[in-house]
Amino acid sequence: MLRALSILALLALIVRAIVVADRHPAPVRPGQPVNIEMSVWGMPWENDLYTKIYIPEFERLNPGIKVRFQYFEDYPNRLLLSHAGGIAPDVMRQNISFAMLWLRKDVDLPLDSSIDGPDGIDRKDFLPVAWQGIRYNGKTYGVPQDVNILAMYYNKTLFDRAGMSYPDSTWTWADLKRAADRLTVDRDGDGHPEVVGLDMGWGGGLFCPFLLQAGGHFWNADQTQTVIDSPEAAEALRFYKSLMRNYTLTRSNSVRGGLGPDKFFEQGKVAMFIDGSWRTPSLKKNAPGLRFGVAPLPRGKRALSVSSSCFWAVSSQSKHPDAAWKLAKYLSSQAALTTYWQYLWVAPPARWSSLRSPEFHQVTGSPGKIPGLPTEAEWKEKCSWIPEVLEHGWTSVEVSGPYTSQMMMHLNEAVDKVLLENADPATVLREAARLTNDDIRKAREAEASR
Amino acid sequence: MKTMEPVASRPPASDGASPAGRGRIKREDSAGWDFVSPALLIICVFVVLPCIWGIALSFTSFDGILPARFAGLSNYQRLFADSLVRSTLWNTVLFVVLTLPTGIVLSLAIALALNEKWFRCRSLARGIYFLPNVTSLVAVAFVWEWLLNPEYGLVNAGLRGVGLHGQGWLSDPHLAMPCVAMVAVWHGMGFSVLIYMAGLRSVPGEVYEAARIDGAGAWQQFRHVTWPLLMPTTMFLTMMGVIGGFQVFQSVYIMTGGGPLDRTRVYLFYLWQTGFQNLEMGYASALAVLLFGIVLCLTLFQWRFFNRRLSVWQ
Repeated sequence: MLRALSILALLALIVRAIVVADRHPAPVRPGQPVNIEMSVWGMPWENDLYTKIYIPEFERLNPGIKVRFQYFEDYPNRLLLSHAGGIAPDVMRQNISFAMLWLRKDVDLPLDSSIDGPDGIDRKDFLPVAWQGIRYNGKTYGVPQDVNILAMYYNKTLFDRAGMSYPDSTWTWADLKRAADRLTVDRDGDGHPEVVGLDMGWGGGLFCPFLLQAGGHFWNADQTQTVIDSPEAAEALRFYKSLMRNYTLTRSNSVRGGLGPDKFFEQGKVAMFIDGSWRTPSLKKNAPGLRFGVAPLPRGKRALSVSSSCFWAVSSQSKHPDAAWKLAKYLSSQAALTTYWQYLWVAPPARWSSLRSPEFHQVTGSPGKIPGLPTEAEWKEKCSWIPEVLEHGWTSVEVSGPYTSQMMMHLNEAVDKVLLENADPATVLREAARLTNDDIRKAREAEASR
Repeated sequence: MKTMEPVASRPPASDGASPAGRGRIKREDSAGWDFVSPALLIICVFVVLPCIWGIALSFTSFDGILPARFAGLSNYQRLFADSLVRSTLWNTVLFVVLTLPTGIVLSLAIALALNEKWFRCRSLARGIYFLPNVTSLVAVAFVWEWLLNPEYGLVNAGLRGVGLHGQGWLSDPHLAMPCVAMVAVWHGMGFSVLIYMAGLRSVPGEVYEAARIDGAGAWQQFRHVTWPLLMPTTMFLTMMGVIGGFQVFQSVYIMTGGGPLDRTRVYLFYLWQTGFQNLEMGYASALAVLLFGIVLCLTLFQWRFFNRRLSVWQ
């Protein structure tokens, strides 16, 4: 028994030595390069942008720094576990949708002194909306990379066949409903339309822009209580329900998987659907013959879409924060962001100088992996809505807050109750707000006890 | 040629063993410990310690990022006042109730059929039934989601083909949980069939022969011979089914995301949301401890229940 315990103790010591060695790398000697890590998520072919373009270029410009690239699946959880283990990558691509809570817990390093220092960047060159999600308590925790925006995709062939003009930024909710009605075709009257005017993933997520367009809000001023029970939110939910009742293929977000509205749209069975800017390249790739365009979301009381934003954060555990800052700065430089757009075109860059440059119109794609936009006419039909929305400030990141997860859990259920059980929108939103605020109170009590 | 020593002539294993014998046993014990210690280390590091750590975390307000702070019993107080704990536990129990008896009955029926002499291509059939079990549940869930798609799924297409209305299988609050349960039964049935077939092979043929001589028909043979003698197998499958049923997560995560109307939000899904989406690891640990307690109690109850049945039959 004693011998067994000795062996166990020895093995435990070996494991501990390995862990500790990994946590505390040997100090860098003068003349030796500094090794830092960066991490991303996304489609696998996006990695080429980092491994073949960004990192070689950055290492050429900074000969004393070597970058190790990490691509993670299940990204937020992986980063959390890395942080808990003390091995978080030095530079992390993050999205405000999951990072808003982290900002309050010192996962990322405040970068104000670097941003505003002699080796800093010009804050004014970045879209104001891109900064909103990465500031907390007067500190800035990253440098913006892009701004995703929800938009409306439409099938030009189906619109032409119906003799209708294409959607644009002047469209209202009434136009949307009228178009959805006219474009829905059920030739044999069996209740299963051959073409559906408007389809969406019906749930809390896509209800969010409607709530904002109706003049509603998600949070109070300091984001400690939800206000999704406003009369504006109830009005938005009533309109949302009217859309779903008449024009839908999939009645609930519960029906997901590989058969989302985008797949029906690719097959020409859906005339319009709402999705993020990231969907455009994959639609063009999957359905090269499909004639489609993209437009800003129709306006309610106001024109507004929902955005989330990706940014480059430096880990608070980084052993080389200066080198990490250099990399974050490089990755959000005008040149890098312009390349990012031209190569992937999933989301517009967060810099005005990239967005307003002639290169923004020159989408090359990645040969063999992502199609490009060879003509200005095609760029106009698929991308001209982006500068229009951003220049007018028609998008918001308000939905992303530290307690978004709690709110969405109850908002999803409220939307389901209205769509599936015909419940009263005002009543279910009141209940969702009550439950959310109750959850937030408990979470804040737990936070306060730390 | 060296022959085996008769058992009766061996010295007693422990009582009255000579000092030399005890020494040999100790040396053998020691060698045994040497062999199992790497495995023990792995189990300790990856199973035992995390379990203990999880229990400890349930008394803290750990958020996965900042250091854990002792929070006393507050997580447990919150747990008993949390209406979502009750509703998700109810959904989980419903899942177990839907999957367990169905799985047991179907797999026993299939195993009995496969065990019959008249059944041809037994190996092929066994392989077909076992195939879903070796397929990733994630892939299986995706495939079933497509099959059950209200517009383009094969299931509704088949129903329309015979003049019936298709259903929103996963979007109808009344149908979503039965559909998830059906997929779970389909996925796990191959394993149960194999275990039952192994159980059936171990039933001595003489017992059936004696029953037939006594005039027992097919049903009586099943009721008085097969079923009692398969009780240990049924006990094993029931226990595993309850434990597995309370841990359902993947199929719900992929097929319904807990919806519609929270009807498929099971306990483990809520635990995952609490821990990894809301970053309330301390509370999630308390939820895990409660789950452990429930499963332990149910397993002990089943153990006693089946053992009583077994002792009656024996």
